[in-house]
Parts: sequence; C-alpha cells; structure tokens
Amino acid sequence: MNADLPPGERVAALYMVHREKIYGFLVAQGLYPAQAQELAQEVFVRMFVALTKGSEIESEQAWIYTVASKLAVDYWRREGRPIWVELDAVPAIAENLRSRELTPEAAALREERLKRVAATLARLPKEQRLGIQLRMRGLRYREIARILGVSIAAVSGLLSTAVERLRSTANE
Amino acid sequence: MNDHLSPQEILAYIDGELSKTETQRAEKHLHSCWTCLTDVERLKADIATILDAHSESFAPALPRPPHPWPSFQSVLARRLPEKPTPLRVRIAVYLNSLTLARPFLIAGAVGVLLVGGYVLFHAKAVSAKEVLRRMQVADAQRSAITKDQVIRERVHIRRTSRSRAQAESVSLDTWKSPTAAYWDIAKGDSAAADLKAEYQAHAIPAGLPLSAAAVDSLGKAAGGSPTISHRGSDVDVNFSGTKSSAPDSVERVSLIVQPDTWQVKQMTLDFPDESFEVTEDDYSVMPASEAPADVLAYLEPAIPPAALPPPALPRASSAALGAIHLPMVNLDKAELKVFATLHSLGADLGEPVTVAHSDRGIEVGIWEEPLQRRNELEAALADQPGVQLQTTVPRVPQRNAVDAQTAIPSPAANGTPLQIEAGSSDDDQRLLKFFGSADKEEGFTNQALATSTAILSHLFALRNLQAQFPVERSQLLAPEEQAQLRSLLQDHTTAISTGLNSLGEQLAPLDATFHLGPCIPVAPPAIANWQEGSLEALETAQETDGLLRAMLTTTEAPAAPDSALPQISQNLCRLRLELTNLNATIR
Repeated sequence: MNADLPPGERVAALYMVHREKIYGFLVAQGLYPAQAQELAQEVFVRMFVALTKGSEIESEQAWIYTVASKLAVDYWRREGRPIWVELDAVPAIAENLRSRELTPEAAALREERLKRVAATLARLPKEQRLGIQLRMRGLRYREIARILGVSIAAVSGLLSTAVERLRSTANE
Repeated sequence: MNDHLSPQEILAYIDGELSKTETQRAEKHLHSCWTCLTDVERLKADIATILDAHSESFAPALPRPPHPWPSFQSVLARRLPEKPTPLRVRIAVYLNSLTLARPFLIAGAVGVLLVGGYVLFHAKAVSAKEVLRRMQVADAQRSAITKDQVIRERVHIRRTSRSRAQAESVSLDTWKSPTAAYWDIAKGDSAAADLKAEYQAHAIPAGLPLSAAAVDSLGKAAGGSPTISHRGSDVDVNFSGTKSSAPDSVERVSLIVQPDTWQVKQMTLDFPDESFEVTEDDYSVMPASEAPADVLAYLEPAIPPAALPPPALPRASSAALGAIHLPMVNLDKAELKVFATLHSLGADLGEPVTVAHSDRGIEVGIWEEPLQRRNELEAALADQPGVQLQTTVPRVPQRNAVDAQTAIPSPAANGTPLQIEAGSSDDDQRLLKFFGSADKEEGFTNQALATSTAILSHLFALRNLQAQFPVERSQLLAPEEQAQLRSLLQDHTTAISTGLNSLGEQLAPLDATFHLGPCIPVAPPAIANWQEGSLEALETAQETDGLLRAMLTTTEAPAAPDSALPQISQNLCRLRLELTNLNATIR
C-alpha cells in the first residue's frame, strides 16, 4: 500500500484486503468466530493509532500478523483454558485446485491425506499451531519467539515437534 | 559419519536458522551423507504437503465470519470513543475522516460526530460488563429468601414466529424456593412451554425466567461481547453472537435494564425461526404458606419431585412437564466434589480440564490430558455420583463449561495502556550487568515468571469457581457445601499469598539498582463478594505478569526496568490488599 496516503485511507485499504485473512488466522488460533471478527477489526484500529502516532511500518503484512498473533496470545492467557480449532465439515477440494496430472484414485488419496493433515493441524497444541502458521507466512524464529515470549531455541523445538506430527499424519 | 543431523537441525537448516558455524557443519555433513540428504529432500516435500493441506483443506473448513464486515470508518467510530486515546490521535481521526473519498463521506461524518463528541465531552458511560455485574448483585439481593419464603415472578411472554402471521401472548407465573423452581404452565400454552424447552436445551440453571443466572447463560449461548446503548431512561444490553442454521441456536439476546434498580424489565430472545419477548409484570416474595398447595408440592425441598403424589388440584399433563426439578443427585455437592478432587490432584491449575453442569449431571472433559494423566483423573473421578467423564473430543465445545467464560479484558485489550517507558538495548545491558551473566539472568527470569504463572494459575482457578458458583448459586448452597467451597477458596488464596511473598523476595535485590519504589497503599475498589474480588485480583495479576514479561523477555514492546519495576511493585501492594479484601469476603 502507498505509505504516503493519510493513515485513515491507508489502513482502510489494508482493512479491505486483509480483514478476511486476519479473521481466518485468528479463528485458526482457536478464537470463537465472533471474537475473531472483533479482534480482526482491533488489529486495524491499532495500526491506525500507531500510524497517527508517527510509527513507521515497513512491512504491513508482517505488522498485521504480529499484532494479530499477540492478540491471540493475550486471549489464550486471559482464557486459561484448552484452545482447539473447530473445523466445519471439511469441504471437498475444488475441482480447479485438483491436479490434472493425477488419476482419480490418486487425487482421492491425496485429498484424504490433506484432510488428515488439516485435522492434525486443528488439534496441535496452540503454540505449535501458531508457530507453524507464522512460519508459513515467512516470520523468522526470532520474530515468533518475541510473539510467544519464549527463546529462539524453544521456537525451533516446537516447530520441529509440530512438523514431525504433521508429517507422521501425512505419511500414515 | 554417524553424527547425523537431527530432525530439528534439518528443519532449522532448511529454514536458514542455523548459525554460520552450524550451517557449515551441516553442509559438510550433507556432502558426505546420503541419508541426511534424503531426509532434507523428504522434509521439503512434506512441508509442501503441509502447505497444501493448510490452503486446500484447513483454511476452507474454518467457520465464516458471523457478521457482515462494517466499513473501517464505522469500526473507528465505534471503537475509539470507548478508549482514552491521545488527543493527537483523536484529532487525526477527525482530520482523516475529512480527507476520505466521497463514498465514505457520510460514514465519516458520523464517525467525526461521535469522535468529536468524545473529544469535547470525554463522556464515560457504564460498560456492558459493569451493567451485567450490577444486575447480578441486584438479582442476588432481591432473590435472597429464607427457607420459609418463596418468590413469584409473573411474566408476560410474547412470541413471534416467522411461520405464523400473528404473535402469541401469554401470562405465566413462575415460582422459586431456595432449592427448586417451577413454571406454572397451563395446558395448551405452547409459547411458555416452548420457551421453557429452549431454556432446558441451553442448560439454563433451574430458576426464574429473568434471573441473572438465566440472562448470563443465555448471553453466553448467544456468544459475542455484550454491547450497551441507552433507550430513554433505560439501558439496553445486547449479546449478538454467531448466527447458526440450527433452529434452537440463540442468535441474539437483548435486555432492557432499569438503571435505578439494575433489574431486567424485558428480555428478547431471537432464534433463527422465532423470537420471545419476556416482560416482568410482577415480582413478589411471600411466605411459602401463601403459595398454592400444588405449586408448593413442586417447590418442597424435602421430597424428591419424582416421589411426590399427584398435585392436590387437577393439573394438565403439560403443566407437569413444565416443572423444572432439581435432579435427584445433588449437583452442587457433586460439582464441588469434582473441583475438590481436581484440586487435590493439582489439576485445577491450568491443566486442560473442563467442567460443565447440565440437567444430566457434571460433565468433566479430560480429553486433552496426556494418557497417563487422563487415566489418573479417570480413576479419581469415575465413581463419583452424577459425574460424566468425557475422554474423547466432543463435537462442539460446551457453552456453559468453565473454559467458555466471557473474556476478562486484559490491560492490553481494555484500552488503558500503562505509561511504561519502552525498553532499549541499554536496559538489556544494565540488566545483564546487574545479574553478572546471561545464565544468571535467564535463571532469574525463569524463576520470576514461574512464580507469576503460579499466582495466575490459582487466580484462574478462582475465576473458574466464580463462573460455576456465581453469587446467586453460592448463596443457595447448603452449609456443608459452603464450607467445602470456602475451604477450596482459602487454599487458593493461601497459595496466592505465598506466591506474592516469593515474588516480592525475588524482586527485592533489584531495588538497589533499579529502585522498586515505596508501596503506596491505595485502597482497591470495595468488593461485595469473593466472586468480584477474584476477578479484580486476576486483572491486577495479569497486568503484573505482562509487565514482568515485557521487562524480562524478548517482546514486541519491551519495558524499561526503571519504569516497569515501580509499577510491578505497586501492583504487588495492590494485590496484597485485594487478597485481604478477598479473604474477608470468604470468611
């Protein structure tokens, strides 16, 4: 987005583009949908406040996901309860996403495999799930450590544990 | 050759997170080891599968947003006025709204008016949470009766249904004794019977239709944070949560509250296919002897309702179905026993255990515990009367479980950020110099955070107890159960007190260098009961924990020790006073 725009316009444009993704990211951290939608809006309000205070934001996406993650971590700490993700009935993979190179049997096997991995992802411990999703979005271990309030070595350990769990499900 | 790379090293290598030396060693090893080289390639392929699973299967299965997205200007207008925001930010909201493109002009103008109003008047309204708290207190006061008294709440029910052209209106008498409740539903009165069925379907505690407990449970069933608005001299509170296609899901709960008495005048319940408007016509406390004999038969605590002879007066069968009985098992006793058992095993301190009560009994969810711990808890709880153990993941999380409480606003979320100076690398160096080595600093950090976490875990346990035993319910407990509850509460407050002393001792050596500051005894707000006191103390402890983490760990918003430590010290003073008040309400 154009950093020269006034904060109101700049954040309003980012809000249009990213609100659904941030909502999805927060729901994927175990927040109830209504809470996730409220907090997704809060992320952009915070960005607006930060910009009007004169803060410079280099990577808007990284900033947004970092703040959303911290809101999710705050939420976990407030709740003090087990957090899991409730998936709706997993829809069949859209036709246009299916590989044209696979036979119908191979495509069905692949789809089953992806569903198993998705179900495992939904049941990962919350820190592992958040770590994996932040890594998917390109955050470095140091940045993830800051969000979770743990050491870089701990992030390396929890990511490795999570990846091994997902791999074992994928290769069942 | 045998020094293979571990899975963790391989992942860190792929992620480019190994140090220069470690990377060189890994690459050298990979040049000579086909096994590890293959593992690297396999992991890359599996990561591709994980990414595919996330985008094609996981993300599409997440629930959709429950509400349409408001414009960003509406979001700003709604949120910023609630928060004490710096003047320059409020002015920026105003100026930015003027520069918006035309399509946003009208919404922007509304935002400017609201924000401008806030800038001018700094109006501070009572929050929805505070209204609900006052309602609970008011309800507990008016429903406090002796064993020789009963309450009659006469309500007017108006049902509107999408499938029927005309609304139905009925009057209903509901009754409550200290131990039971009864809705006197006449034959053919389907609106009242259906409303009662909705209450039962959502596991609303047996009681009067407009009781604080019923309102609280229905609000939670609707989900979402309560919002507040004003209608003339009355206050409106709305819960509007996730919309669902299920016919019995609560879409919205709206309350009209009288601000002079903090009592609910009217409640509207919206379901996908129909709405109920429940208005209180009369509320009377009377001697039990004045209640009709047939009603008294249902309210009589000494005899289980199932063992009662038919009512003295002829009564339609649907009326008998309308009775809400306390179950044969004493749920209070059973639930307290569950909490006592969990407490004795230390399982109430942050372990993933849920406790929920329903007409069927006490449901204890232990499915997230590791197998060995699950077996241990199963052995301890299995034979307890009225307890149902859930060892596998339920399809839908229970709405009234202790793990589904309304979130308590954290200092970060409630819009009152503390004025703490941001930390810098100089501060890190000063802390390092104070401790003498990184290892010693880490040791101190781990110890202080462990103590803070222990304090929080006991306060979360208190919060769970207050959620399960709100004022109204705890007042109705038998003396023996009250004593058991008191014992549990005192156990937690003693542990919190010990934790506070430990944390004070751990922080004391920092005083010479960073100056903790004096403990200025500022009296915390008065509390009416231990439930309130637990929440107050939890809020202070959460703020303290946040400050400790901001000062001692790598965070996005580090805090300078010179600024954070006096605040932490002051918070510990406040917590001690809050704990004293809390203990006074428990005795």
